[in-house]
Amino acid sequence: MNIACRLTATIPEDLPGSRFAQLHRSTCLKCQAEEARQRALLRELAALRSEHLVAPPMVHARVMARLGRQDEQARLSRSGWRVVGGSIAATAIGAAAVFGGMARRRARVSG
Amino acid sequence: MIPPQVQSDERTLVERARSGDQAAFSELVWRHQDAMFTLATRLVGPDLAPDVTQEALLRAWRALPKFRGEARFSTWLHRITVNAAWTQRKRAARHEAVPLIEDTHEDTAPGPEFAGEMVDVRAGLREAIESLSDGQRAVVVLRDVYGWTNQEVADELDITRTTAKVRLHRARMKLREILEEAS
Repeated sequence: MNIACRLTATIPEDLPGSRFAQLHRSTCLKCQAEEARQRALLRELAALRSEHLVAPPMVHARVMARLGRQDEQARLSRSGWRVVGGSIAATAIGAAAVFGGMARRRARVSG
Repeated sequence: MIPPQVQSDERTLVERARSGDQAAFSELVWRHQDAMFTLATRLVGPDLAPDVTQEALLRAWRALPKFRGEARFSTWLHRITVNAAWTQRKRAARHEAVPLIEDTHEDTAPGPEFAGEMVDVRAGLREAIESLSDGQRAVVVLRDVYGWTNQEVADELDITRTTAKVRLHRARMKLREILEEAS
């Protein structure tokens, strides 16, 4: 293989130098044969796309089970926050009532 | 070509799933899991592929509210699968991950269109793809098997377009070397 053939084989398409490769290939039978082999490879690769593998049934089952658990967690966390929120509100109301009572008593004493 | 009836049916399912309907999402999983599993197998091999598919589907569920329908749903799922495969591969490289699902099986039975010789060539090609480095395999699978553009490959793998091209060229050369050695 001469240097021109080697360069032609090493330069990726659409990159600087590929014009040189194209010109060389148009006159070199060895490189044309090489290109034909490359095309055959690309055809084979593209044909792999039509191949169809079957996912293990466990994939579906596990995904749906995880979604169920996530929803349950979200629901529990929402209800947990509701309990916390309720307690805070009750504490706030209680505190307001106590302070209100104290303020009214102080007003009566001073009045 | 997907018939319009199926497309609109799928759009309805996606809309329902977006609003949290798990039954609709379950149907979408049935429809797309094989394609996602096939892509995952090409990217990370059969041992990690079930985990990658599962992870990608969970990510899809979480990201569904953000899916605006600009790309086809299957394309969107493919992108998520590539991301999940990338994450899984990195994790596996760090910890030698043990797959969560043991009962992986492949439907390797050839269809009627496969001549015996063709099956041999394909099997050799599959093995050759598996023996590429992670980066080369990802580029060759996305570009040459799935027909993505160089730009799409570059964007998805977070590399420049030139790197994608050079990697692709090297991967093809490597594949031919392996196949020629084998034959």
